[in-house]
Amino acid sequence: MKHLPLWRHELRRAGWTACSPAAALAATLALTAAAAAFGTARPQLERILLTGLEALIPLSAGMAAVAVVSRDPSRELQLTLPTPYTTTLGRRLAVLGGLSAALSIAFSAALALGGWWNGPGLPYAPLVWAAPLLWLTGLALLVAALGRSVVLATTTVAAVWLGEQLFATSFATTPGLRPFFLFMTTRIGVPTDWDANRAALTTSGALLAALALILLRRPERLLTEEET
Amino acid sequence: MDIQITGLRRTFGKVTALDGLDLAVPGGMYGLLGTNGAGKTTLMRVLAGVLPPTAGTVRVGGHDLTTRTGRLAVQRRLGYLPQDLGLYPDLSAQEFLDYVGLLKGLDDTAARRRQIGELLDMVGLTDAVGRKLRGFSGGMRRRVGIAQALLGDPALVVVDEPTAGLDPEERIRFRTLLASIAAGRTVLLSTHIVEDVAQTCRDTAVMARGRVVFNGPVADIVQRAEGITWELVGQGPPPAGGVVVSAVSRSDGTHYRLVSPTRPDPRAVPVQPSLEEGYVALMHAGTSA
Repeated sequence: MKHLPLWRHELRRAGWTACSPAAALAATLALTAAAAAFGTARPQLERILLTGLEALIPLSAGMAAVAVVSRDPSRELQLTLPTPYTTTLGRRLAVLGGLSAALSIAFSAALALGGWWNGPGLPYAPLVWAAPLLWLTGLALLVAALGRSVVLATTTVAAVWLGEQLFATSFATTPGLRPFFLFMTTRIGVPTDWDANRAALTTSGALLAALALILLRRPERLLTEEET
Repeated sequence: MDIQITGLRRTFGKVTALDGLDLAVPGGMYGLLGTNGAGKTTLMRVLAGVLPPTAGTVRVGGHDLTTRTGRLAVQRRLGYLPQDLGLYPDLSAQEFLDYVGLLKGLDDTAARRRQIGELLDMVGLTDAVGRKLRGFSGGMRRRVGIAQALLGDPALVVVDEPTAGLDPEERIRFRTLLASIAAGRTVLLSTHIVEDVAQTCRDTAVMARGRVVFNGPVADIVQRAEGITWELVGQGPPPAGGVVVSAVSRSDGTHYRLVSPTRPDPRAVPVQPSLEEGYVALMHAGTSA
């Protein structure tokens, strides 16, 4: 229990990044409400709600992950403390992931209870949001660790996300790209290779995150060009 | 906690920040002077375990900083105030110190809170204890910085340019505070402000181009400018040859004080040098002055 205050401090310290999953959910609900106001049919509304889970919350988590790695005003001090900074980063990512997961689970449950869920059933349902969330977060961490630039990392994550949205047909029809198609559930549904797609995203996302954490173990990697 | 540095090199790509640096630092308050780009901050970061050396040995309190265990042993007894300490704006001063204390391994809640209270009192922030850090002035932020550095009663305190950007009154208050914490521990003060070292340190090192060019009593720096410090009263631009240290305009003309190995002008008269002039003489030894 001695670490409980540390988690509490991390939650308070997170500031806006802690609110980003909730903001993504709010945006989803606002989009759905606006679409409903224009008379959009129920299947399309269900798809917008699912898009919030599969696309918007993972995007917000990816952007927040960039901030976790790249925007720490006390980074230099952190690197001098006996607690390894990678442990602190891990704790922060756990806070971010925990908030995103809790919100996604609650939202999924609410959709299922309200009869608005049109994704796969349990136990695979969480992979609708968990797989793209892990992949985008892993990508964000790796680019942030490699490039040491907030702009580069956020731009890369946004570009990949947007690229997959804009070229969804190419991702869906190209065998080499299909395993890394983030938005399969909302763009195609749940085809026979849906679970293979989710497995590929989850595995590669974990790999990207692991690579990033290995890079981040070198302290100077965490300082920007100006700081060194 | 003594510091022994031998042949320390640190490079960043093709840039050499520390170039075979040798230095021995005893206990007490110790100054580290040097111009911007001399390598002071890199040295501070190596001593704090932020950057590993490219070559050479660094021993702090007998611990080898080039090993992981040695680095951890030093960091457990280290207080560090970086040049640009960013604070978490959504935390209060008390929360920030509590957070840093936990990361320093101060797990006893009651003892940690007691120490935080004492430190906030010492740095004069008791009244602002619950305020969010985003509203703190530059001086208040530095005081939070020194409070966090002292958490855990460290044997070695490393402070990098702590008074840069502070107004004169705050600067004096801050360096007095630093001097007061030096009893029983080693405080390494890195700065380019000669006056700060003159007022707080008995011994100092002076760095230039990644090397130590002077190491000894602060008073000895003055000797470096004896016989080569001149005063000249004149009109118009400063005389060529030598480094102008001060120029004061008065009714009879501009009073220049300059450091020059030869008399810069027939009207120049030798004067007793100040510490700042000794420092200038040291930095320009072998060049123009």
